[in-house]
Amino acid sequence: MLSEPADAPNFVRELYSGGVEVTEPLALDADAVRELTVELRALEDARAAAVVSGRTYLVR
Amino acid sequence: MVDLTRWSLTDRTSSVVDLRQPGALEYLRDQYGGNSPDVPDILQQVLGQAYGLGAQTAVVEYRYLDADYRDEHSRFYSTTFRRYPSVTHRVHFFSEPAEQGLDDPDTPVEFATLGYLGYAIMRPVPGAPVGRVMLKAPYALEDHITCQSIETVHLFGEALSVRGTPFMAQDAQLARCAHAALWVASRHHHLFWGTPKHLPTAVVDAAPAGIGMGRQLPSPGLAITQLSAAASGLGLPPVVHDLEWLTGSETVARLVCRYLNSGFPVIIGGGGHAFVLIGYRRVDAGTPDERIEFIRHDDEVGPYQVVADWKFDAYRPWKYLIVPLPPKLYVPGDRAEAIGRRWARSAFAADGEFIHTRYTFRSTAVTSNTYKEHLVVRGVPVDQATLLRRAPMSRWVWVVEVVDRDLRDKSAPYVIGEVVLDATDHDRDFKILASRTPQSTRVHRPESTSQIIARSSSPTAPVATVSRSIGR
Repeated sequence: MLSEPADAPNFVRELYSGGVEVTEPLALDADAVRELTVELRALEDARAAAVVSGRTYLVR
Repeated sequence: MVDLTRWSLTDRTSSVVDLRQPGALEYLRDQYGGNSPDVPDILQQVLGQAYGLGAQTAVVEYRYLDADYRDEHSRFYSTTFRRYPSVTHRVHFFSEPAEQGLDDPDTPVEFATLGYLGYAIMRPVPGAPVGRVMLKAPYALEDHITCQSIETVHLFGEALSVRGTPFMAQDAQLARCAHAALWVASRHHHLFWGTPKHLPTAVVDAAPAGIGMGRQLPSPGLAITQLSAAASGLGLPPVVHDLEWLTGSETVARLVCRYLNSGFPVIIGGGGHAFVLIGYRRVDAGTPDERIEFIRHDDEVGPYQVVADWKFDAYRPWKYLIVPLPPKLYVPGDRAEAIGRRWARSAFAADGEFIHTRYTFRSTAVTSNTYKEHLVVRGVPVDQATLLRRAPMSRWVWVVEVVDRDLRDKSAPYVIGEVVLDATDHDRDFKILASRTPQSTRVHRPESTSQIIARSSSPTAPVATVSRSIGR
């Protein structure tokens, strides 16, 4: 069974992550989330349109 | 007309053609074009491009078993009344003359020392004489072609390598432009990423006949839906865009360049034809006339064709974009960039900086291993590179870079910051893996909201773009 980091023998060390823990994580604000949702929905609509129109366009 | 009865009835295994001699190129043209005024343009293009690369020697193998043509022959040409030979001629091009050792059995010529430029397969099909081609790109274009790979062939026991983009001309019976375009994308994926190699009938069979109209052999062409399904059938599920349905600030150039920067060939359906974009170049950068010239493989014209202005292209209007992609690249480029843009603004704002109007965004899909491997080479400080390298990441990531246009136009390193996204992430959960600004680098733990940060003691200088740093 793997031992918890705190229980690990002294020849096992956790690798330094390269940074420090952030006290206030970065997040998107409500406006950004709203705009992004609208934009991504428009992209989905465009993709759906391609599915329909692509049935009849022939390339040769 | 080419005399097919004499195609392989020779004991001669190969010939060396001195292309420096007057009439030598015309000799090759007439051998495969039939010495008629209707020599296919594509044959003239291929021979002309080889000559333009400085080819001084051609070596013709007369009994070459080409896997792609053998496959076509097996499915179609062996079933016709007219007899078609089952072997091809493979024509190799070299930049140096072959003068020494042509007749010497003790010190024979070493073709590997003659500057290999690539090869062209000549089919014994008068209506479609050019088959598979792998030629070095024209010198003026090679730095702008983002979809290149290396192929190694063997000639008389010598290994010869060439860097370029594989090309295939349609035979107009078994395969049409759509099949040829998909073959090009598939073969590039095979050579660059090691995906399975697909022969022409695999491409043909992958296109569902049931949603087409009429008989599929000889092929009448493919609907976009069939082309899309065929790409999926080959293990390269595509992103498909109707170019008349672009949203917001999206443009054809931005859409296409995102995938070209990532090294993915882009198939365009326009004017009833399909062709493959393999690179681009920015012309008149920083001026009001700035525009993008695309470079394409057009199976009806030839490899490495420049499209000066896509809006006025012979195949206008461009209607569809189909990009065959690795299966684990779930997130398409436009979504990745939309999410990455907003996270970049948030990260910059958190450090008291703003995205200036002269900044723009550039998105590239890369494997996370490649991304991590090239961080320091690109100019990312070692401590910040360490944080990014030790962060768990998905196999494929999108890197949305914040680009300073002024620096880009001066050809200096121009990436101010970047956001890294998991290419398999959920559509409606806008997480990222990491972000980098001039002031700091953050890594977001995949399954929680906690983050790790490494701050710069001084603002980080602009770095090289991830796509150029990996040779694309």
